[in-house]
Amino acid sequence: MIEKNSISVAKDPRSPLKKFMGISGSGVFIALIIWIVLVCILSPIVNPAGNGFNVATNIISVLKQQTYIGIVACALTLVIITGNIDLSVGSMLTLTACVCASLVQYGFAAAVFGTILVGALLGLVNGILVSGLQLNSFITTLGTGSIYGSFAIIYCSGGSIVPPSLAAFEFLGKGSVGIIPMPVIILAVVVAIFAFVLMKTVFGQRLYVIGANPVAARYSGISARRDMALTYVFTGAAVGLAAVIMVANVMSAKPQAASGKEMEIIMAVVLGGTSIMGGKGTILGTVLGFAFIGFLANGSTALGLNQYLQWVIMGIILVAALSADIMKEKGVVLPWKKSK
Amino acid sequence: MEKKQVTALGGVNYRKLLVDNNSAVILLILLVVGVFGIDKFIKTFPSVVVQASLYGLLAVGLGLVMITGNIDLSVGYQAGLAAVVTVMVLNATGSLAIAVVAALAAGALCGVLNGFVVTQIGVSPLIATIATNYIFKGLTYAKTSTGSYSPTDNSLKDTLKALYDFKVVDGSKFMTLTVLIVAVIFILLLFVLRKTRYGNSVYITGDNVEAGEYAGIHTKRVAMITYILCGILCALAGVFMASRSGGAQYTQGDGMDVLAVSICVIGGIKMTGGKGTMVHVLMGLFIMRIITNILNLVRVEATYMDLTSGILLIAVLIIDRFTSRKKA
Amino acid sequence: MGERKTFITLDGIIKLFPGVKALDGVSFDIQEGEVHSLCGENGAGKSTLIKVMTGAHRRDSGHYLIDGNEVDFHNTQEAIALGVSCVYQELSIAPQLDVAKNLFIGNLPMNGPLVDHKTLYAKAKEILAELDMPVSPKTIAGELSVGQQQMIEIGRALTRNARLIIMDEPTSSLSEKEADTLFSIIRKLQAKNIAIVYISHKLDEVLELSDRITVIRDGKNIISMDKADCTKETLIAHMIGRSLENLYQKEPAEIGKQVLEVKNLTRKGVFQDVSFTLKAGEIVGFFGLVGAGRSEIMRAIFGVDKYQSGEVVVDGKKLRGGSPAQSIAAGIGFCTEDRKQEGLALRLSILLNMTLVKLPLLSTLGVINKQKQREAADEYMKSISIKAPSVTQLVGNLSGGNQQKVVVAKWLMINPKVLIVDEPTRGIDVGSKSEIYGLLSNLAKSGMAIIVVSSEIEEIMGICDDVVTICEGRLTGRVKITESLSRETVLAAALGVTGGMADTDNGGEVG
Repeated sequence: MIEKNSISVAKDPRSPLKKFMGISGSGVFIALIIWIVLVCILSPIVNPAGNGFNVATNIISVLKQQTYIGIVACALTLVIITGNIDLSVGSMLTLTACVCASLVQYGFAAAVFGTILVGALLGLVNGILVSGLQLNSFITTLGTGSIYGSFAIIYCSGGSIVPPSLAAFEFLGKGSVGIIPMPVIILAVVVAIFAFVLMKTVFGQRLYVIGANPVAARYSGISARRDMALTYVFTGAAVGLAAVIMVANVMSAKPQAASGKEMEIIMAVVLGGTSIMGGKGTILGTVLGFAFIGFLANGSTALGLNQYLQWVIMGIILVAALSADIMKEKGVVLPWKKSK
Repeated sequence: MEKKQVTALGGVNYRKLLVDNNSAVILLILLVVGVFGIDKFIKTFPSVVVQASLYGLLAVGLGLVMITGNIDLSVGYQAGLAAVVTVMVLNATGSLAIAVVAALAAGALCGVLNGFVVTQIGVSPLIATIATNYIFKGLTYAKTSTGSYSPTDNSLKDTLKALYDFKVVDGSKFMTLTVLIVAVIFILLLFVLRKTRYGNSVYITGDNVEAGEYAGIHTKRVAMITYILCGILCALAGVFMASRSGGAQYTQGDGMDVLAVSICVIGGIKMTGGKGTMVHVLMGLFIMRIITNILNLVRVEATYMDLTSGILLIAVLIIDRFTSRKKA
Repeated sequence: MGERKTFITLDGIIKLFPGVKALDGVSFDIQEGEVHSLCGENGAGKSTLIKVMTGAHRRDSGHYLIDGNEVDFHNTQEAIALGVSCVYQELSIAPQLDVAKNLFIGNLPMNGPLVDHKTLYAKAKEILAELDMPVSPKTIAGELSVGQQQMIEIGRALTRNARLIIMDEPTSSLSEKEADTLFSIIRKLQAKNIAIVYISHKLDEVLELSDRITVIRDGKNIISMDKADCTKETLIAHMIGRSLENLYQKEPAEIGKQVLEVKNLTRKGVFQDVSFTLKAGEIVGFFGLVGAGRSEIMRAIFGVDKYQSGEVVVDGKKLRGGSPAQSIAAGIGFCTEDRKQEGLALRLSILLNMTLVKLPLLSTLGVINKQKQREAADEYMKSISIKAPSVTQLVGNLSGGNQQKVVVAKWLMINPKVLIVDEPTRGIDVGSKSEIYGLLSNLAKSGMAIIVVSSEIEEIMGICDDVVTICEGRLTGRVKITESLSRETVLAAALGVTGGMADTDNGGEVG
């Protein structure tokens, strides 16, 4: 006779610690805290000649530095949650920056909204190729990345574009409200918007399903293709916005501006707990991700570390974090813990 | 609802052959255009071959990994790191031979790291190799931050350079040691993939992992070895690069991952694994290098190369998508 | 035909899973060169027995002897080495490799350290010839038909010197012609003294092919018979047997107006001319064998699959087809056959999975009203008693029964006019089964029209008002379920046996 179901799910038996670790991005958070503490302690010892490490002022400078990455990372989170990727964001940023610089002469609206529009269109191309034609997102965006990068160089005719002075525009990049720089404010707004969209809208919640099980999504009446294409459009728009801030900050644009940045952005998203397989991730995690990368660089400087050693450390921490994530998910039992 | 029975005993399905090897068609077109349409094309061909050999090593290594269904985006800086190691050990020991061995060992280690994280821990190869790339990149840049990292002693530098310039056949423009070694490796791998048990396992791992496991093949081990081989090949490329420039260069690894992936995909290696041969890699390699050469000869800026490769990549994907739909 | 030697014996095999006794003392023996069929309903224990035999599972107790020696396999490789191979329903072919390499996968003929291609293709040719396959060994496996790929798997067993080949529902995806080819190959294998364990619902085949037939029910073997002693009727009788305690709480419901009309739905090669109607409050069961096309018909009605001709009309409105979103809007809900692959996102919470389809209605201008969402989920958690600490629990952690409840709840939330449930109690414990039946009964009472697709006769007879039988893509009959309707009649109709089932819609005999 078949017994009553012996799997009892009455109470969640996990300890509070395990529950916390289960939250996406918790690993990075802990790593971040540990790092900051480490730097605070070590920097006066290791690098007494340096400026020391004041956490408060550093938070703001880190955020300012990471603005471009942060804005794009938020949008990219959506793309990755649906199980895709976008390797063209670096080149897109370069191209839109060049376009932006050349639009400044036409006024604030043109410079800001025109650029965002251009970015959105570039993103739309990605969206059509990936979800419309159902092409592999990795190779496709690798290809569009090369194309956009070339366009940038051609557009700038090899040199750089220096826009004319425009106070309102420049304020976006160089101004501040109180002690908080404008870019950081814009970043905060973008983070809030994407967090809201992801967690609180039908569109956002559906993205998780598309990434976790596209078949089930289809059976539930979700139009995966349209939603996927939209994530690419949003990414393009976000890139446009980031470009605006970038140009407003330095008041010039050159074609090599952001090459290679896509890897850093992807890393930020994945560090924050977003799974490259899709179906999992949060904006908060992404924020912790790019904040961590920023603090790594920042703290390393305070410790007097060679810029390149920073990369090595970042790489090692990334590998460790990714491994820990996978092992947690797959429930890998450590060999020495195996019983029997 | 029976599918048409395919009896390939007698006739060859030419249409299928064409579709499967669209890279060959592209290559053919390029050669025709070059030979008949472009001035000095034939004259510059030998240098194309020589330059291709370096990138060829990276592409071949990556191709191996891709056949098993994985990827390796750290190929560029594995090569860069190897170049650094070559110079370091050369400075320390004065022996080029030891330096080369050390570099290859370093490459193998890189491969072990990649392979371990991907096959044993199970991290997705895409982000795993982006992460390890940072490690390799950092180590490379740490030594070459001033622009390049050369042997301290000029005589050592000459020894280093001699490796690349060494001509196996005197007077020949392209029969250098590099080309010879790469050709040998290429043929060797062609052979291994086709004629050994391991080679067959590589294809099975990429095509249907479960079927392989069910048949008793250790697919994780198979994939791990491809990463190690890739590491060694990248290291060899790094040695040659160091030799060519007389030292390790600052930006050597930049963009190489994109280039290597493009070569493989355009040549016909599938991202999903299980399909493709060294010949495909070779075709992709020559397509890319010939285009670069043609653009050079026609005095077009280098940036159009990127544009072309990007368009080609997407074109290949689209052709693939629509021809496989027809089959279904 | 001389005496056949028994070379494999299983005796008193017991296999336990958490909460279920899958095999309860099964005994089974196999003679060289015989075709020994295994029959039983879904969940009777056939696949577990097979897994024990092939080494995929280890038995908990009992004896397993090959050639008189006790064996205890830790993996499938060990079983294959001793001659026990299996051709599963899900084929494991490497589609981009050629036939020869698939035949000899992991088992390539070697000449020293190198692969001996000459021998490989020569031997492959031999095997293909033995299997009557006019295909070159260099053909790419992915281009072959399903039937041919299956042959490759049989060929693979031959390359491993199999003495026993287990075939699990081999003809479920084959055409008649391909099935005939399979049978002649089976005869050939027998001539080589290779034994076949044949698992199939298609009793005609079983009766024609087998030397002996063993019926399994509830994890026990009921009887092993020689073919001569067996008829279809006796087989069916043994397969069904005594029913379990009354799980079905079907209460009569008021039948309302017609809500669904399907007219001449056709998809070439899959289903033909399917027509039926459905009224509010009705529960209609669709019964047929694996591969009959029931799920395909439902998928076409729902819009996930396309169809070539015919109409689907919901409440007077014709659906254009091919759009799940439109079907949902019109009022159709569909609990799929495979809840893990098609019905749920296992990584996500109960909350999201459950409210997924209703989401637009729980929000204003695209912004979700979190409180409403939570309340809706909590309500259903309670009303269909889903056992979990909270709605934030991941669906992947739930038991099969609870997972199925989440899927059902997902559709109930939008209060569909027509609810299609495909194999609603597959892989679920009895307690949850009973709850789901009660739920369906209540839904019908409240006016929902329900289609239940199932391969368990008892289930259909227990909860449905009418039963429609499907055989090879065609509707073979529809009859009201009454006390006097025998299970055998229904089963026979589903097996395509003529006579017996009056078609209540058309009012005549069905052939």
